[in-house]
Amino acid sequence: MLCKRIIAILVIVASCSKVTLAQDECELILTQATEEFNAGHLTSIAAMLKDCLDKNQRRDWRQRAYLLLAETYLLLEDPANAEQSYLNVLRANPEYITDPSRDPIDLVYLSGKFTATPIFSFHGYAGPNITPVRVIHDVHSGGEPYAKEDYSVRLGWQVGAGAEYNYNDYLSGTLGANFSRTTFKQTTTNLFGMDKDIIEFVDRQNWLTVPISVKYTQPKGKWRRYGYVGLSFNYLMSDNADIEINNRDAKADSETEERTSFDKSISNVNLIDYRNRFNYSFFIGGGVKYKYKLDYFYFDLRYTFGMKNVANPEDRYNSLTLGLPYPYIDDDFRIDNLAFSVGYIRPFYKPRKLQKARTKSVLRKIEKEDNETN
Amino acid sequence: MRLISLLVISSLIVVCSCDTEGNVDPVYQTFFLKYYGEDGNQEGVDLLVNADGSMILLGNSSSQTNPITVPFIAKVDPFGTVQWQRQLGGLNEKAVDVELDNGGNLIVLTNFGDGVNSRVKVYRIGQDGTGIDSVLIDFQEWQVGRSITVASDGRILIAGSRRPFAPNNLGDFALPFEDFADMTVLAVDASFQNDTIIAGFGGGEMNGSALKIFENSSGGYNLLGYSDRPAKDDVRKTRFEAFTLNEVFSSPGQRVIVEVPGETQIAASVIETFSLPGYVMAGTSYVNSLSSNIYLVSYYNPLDRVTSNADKMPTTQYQTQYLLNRRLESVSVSAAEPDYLFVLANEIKDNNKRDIFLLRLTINGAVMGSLSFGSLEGDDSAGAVRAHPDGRIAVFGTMELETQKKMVLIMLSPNGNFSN
Repeated sequence: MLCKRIIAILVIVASCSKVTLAQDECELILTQATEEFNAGHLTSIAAMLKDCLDKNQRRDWRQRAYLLLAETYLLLEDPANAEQSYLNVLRANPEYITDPSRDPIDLVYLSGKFTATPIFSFHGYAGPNITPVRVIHDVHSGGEPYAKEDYSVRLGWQVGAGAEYNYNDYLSGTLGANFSRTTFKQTTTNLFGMDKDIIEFVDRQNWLTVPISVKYTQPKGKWRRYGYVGLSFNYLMSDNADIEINNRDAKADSETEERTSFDKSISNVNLIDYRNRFNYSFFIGGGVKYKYKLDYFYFDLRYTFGMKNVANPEDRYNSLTLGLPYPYIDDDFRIDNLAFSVGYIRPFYKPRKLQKARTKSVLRKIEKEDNETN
Repeated sequence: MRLISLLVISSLIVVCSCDTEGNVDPVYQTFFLKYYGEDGNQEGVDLLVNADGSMILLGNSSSQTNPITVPFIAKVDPFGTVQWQRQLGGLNEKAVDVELDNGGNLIVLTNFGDGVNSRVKVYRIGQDGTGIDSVLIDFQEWQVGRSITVASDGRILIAGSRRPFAPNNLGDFALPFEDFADMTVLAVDASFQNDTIIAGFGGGEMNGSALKIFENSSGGYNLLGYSDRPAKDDVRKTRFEAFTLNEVFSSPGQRVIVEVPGETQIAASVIETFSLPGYVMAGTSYVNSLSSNIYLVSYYNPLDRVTSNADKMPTTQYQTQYLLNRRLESVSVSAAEPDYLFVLANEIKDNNKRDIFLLRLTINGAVMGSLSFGSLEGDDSAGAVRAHPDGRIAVFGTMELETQKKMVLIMLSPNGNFSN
């Protein structure tokens, strides 16, 4: 058994050594090819690099090798192979951008004919949220004019994923699917008398939402800010509530305001039949994404404005008439949502030749730099 | 760009079409279910609707730890908001009926004490809740009031029952030992100074109660209720009973009975109807102790259209037992003239808890629909049903809310919904 393990370790070490040796060899060949290029011996460069390119070398090696080839073919006035080589540069590093101060001008000009901007990218995220309630009509379960209802936020959470269509480097459209648990608390006081009963109602809703948005993103930098607006279509999957009743009566034979409480808790009351299940929202948001290798991590803050009444006025009192024996009644209300998410973006780069080359901007940039130099 | 334009336009449509106070119909203001009460338990028994749409809620209050009751009364506006509420009277007193006197004040009937000491008490209070007067009627005998009628001369006529104290016996029959409750009418003069027993039927029945007395067009009175007074069949069984009395309450007057053969009928509530001139009495017909149905009789006015003189069974506009596959006990009846009738009942469930059951009928007694209110585990009970001047149906009763009982007012559309 021990022997087998030792053999396996030796095989792995040997393989790694072989790969490292091959890489060192190709690195040497690339150095030699660069020297040949600098010496003006252009015709042999493709042949020198061929074997190593066929061995599928490291991404940065391939980027450098294909750049050298692209420059070589440009000098050899072989535009077809130059374009193919530059396309391979972008395949090796889709985010490669030429620099007029560093790269030959004909290479910069060539690069204007290509893009590797991802047409689609996919993302996933998760995070906490809170749900502010906006009351449309205040509906009381008791007849006292002084009974009071207050809402407070509770912590919920969401997870989601989506696809992004990149219209250009700045603008994109996003379609997603989101599952969120929203929760809020309503507290009723002064029910059946001043300082008497207190009803605490905690509502937990599970929503499936489909957000669609337009996003503006900074195209460059390690940290890239973005902002977006959109609509989401929401389906209420479930709605359960916990109710705490503090039935506070004056203490018998007490001369003070002291009260005795007959309390009751009811858990998991199903309210789905008394709610509008379809809703839609308007949202705005923004954040920053951090480039990690060719992908991104991002931090996102989104505020969603609920547009439709969550309570179903037609069935509002059915909760009381069909078997829910507690003094709570739905207000007409909309719910907003403030969500913070941490996410991951996986762009699907697609190096390709542009139908309309962006070479004018390259020329303008060169002219500008010339003017500054003069 | 097409996608962006589409999203911008959609966003504008969404923002413009959101639900706001301006476009969400505040239907809850008109049709609602609201609870009323104070410390302890409050049970609703009667509802009075004023001409201006405000309502008087009458109930009884008790603490969580002591079942002794105190009458509780509240006034709410047409939208159910409390204008005032207060306790009335004292301990061990149960409110049963509230009516208006000829001056627009409230007359409240309560039963004070229990057992052989039960007495009838009447209060006059203003529409603002201030007490004006009260009188305890005490003839040293067991008496229980069921309803108040304010006569055109201002007297307060109280229909109910009594176990006659022998010297006070106004009936034609000797009182057997088993005689428990006889139909009775008491009166209090308009000034609350003098009270009298003005009609009693002691001895004929062992158990019975007058429910309501009405002035009739000939200057006399019609009295409706129930008793187990024997008819031609000489069987002592409880059935609907009514009397026509002259202006001096000559006893017993013209008597008529209505019944479902083989079953027992106990009346609960009676009203006068005008579009179909006469009286509608609602009650319960008991098949046995586990089966009962709503039973409704629409009498002509005058009552004494007797087809068989011997049995004294009147011709009625209709008499119907509603077989609804539920165990129902009638509590209250009301008419929305000229078209509708409403019967409020307790529905007794398998666990012996009650729900509030509303039966909607045409004025001719045809069923239009029904609905029930109440939780599965709660003991919820009917109090009264009234037609509101604006066409709504006002249902009043009690709901058990886990830790307490509270009076409940349910305002429905004429078709029995919480919306138009």
